Amino acid sequence: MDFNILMYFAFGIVAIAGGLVLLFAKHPIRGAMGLLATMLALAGMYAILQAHSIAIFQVIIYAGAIMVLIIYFIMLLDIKSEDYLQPFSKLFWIGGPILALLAIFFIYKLYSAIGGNENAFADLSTTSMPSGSPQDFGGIKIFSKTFLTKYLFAFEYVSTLLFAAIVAVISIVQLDWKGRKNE
Amino acid sequence: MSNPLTDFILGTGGFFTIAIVILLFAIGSITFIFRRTLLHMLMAVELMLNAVNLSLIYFSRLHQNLDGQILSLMIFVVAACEVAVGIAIIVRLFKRTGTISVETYTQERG
Repeated sequence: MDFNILMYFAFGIVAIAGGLVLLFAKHPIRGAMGLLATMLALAGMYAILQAHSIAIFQVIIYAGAIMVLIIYFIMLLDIKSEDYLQPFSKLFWIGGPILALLAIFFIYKLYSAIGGNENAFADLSTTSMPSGSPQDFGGIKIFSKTFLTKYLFAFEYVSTLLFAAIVAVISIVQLDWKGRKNE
Repeated sequence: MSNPLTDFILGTGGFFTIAIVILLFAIGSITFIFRRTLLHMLMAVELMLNAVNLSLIYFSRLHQNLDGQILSLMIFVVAACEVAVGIAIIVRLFKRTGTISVETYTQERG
């Protein structure tokens, strides 16, 4: 078997395992480690799917910035252990299996829709040459070219969203314009 | 012209990827609904956003079209904003009540 296919399966299983750690671990720092494993495994899957720039952004932004922010924040809070004595809601043993069965039902419907057709996803593809992929697809050159020409409005729009988030955070922690606490 | 990785991604890899997406989204929603801690709820939203990103990037590869990758970069930015605002709200709630368990936040009940 090809090495990339093997790594693709391995990364998928690691991603699911990290999600299960987030669901079942008692302390949030263990859940954060599980989420970090999921994000790094997904970065590997992106790289195999030829989205090289998105894989790099996943490692830098998600695993490097967002997860460090969450872990730093867990360290900052100094939470008492009584908060974790009742980790699940009382309805978990009823609702959790129902939602899990729903997910398994979706996977079963997907499997029966494919129906053993090996090329079901290739038939979905609208491109004229599904097997002969260009080598620079997903590289940083074509990615940034598309991003800064075709999607320039979305880029500016997202920068506005970031600015609004900064204003919202300052408003939530309620500092006045000299940086003093405004209770 | 056809290598085994491309055949795998266009064939059985599609089923595997979409199954991973469904399972990750289900785990994220179960965590969000049934873990009674604000930190776990915040991290569960991140997990669901990651699952959606994986499906976007898979279909971007399937159609050889960069739109899905650009949209997933937008989702990165939205996730960063959401974590910043969510952490500010949680810090403020923690300073006020001394706990992050949502079962104790009963003053918003009508």
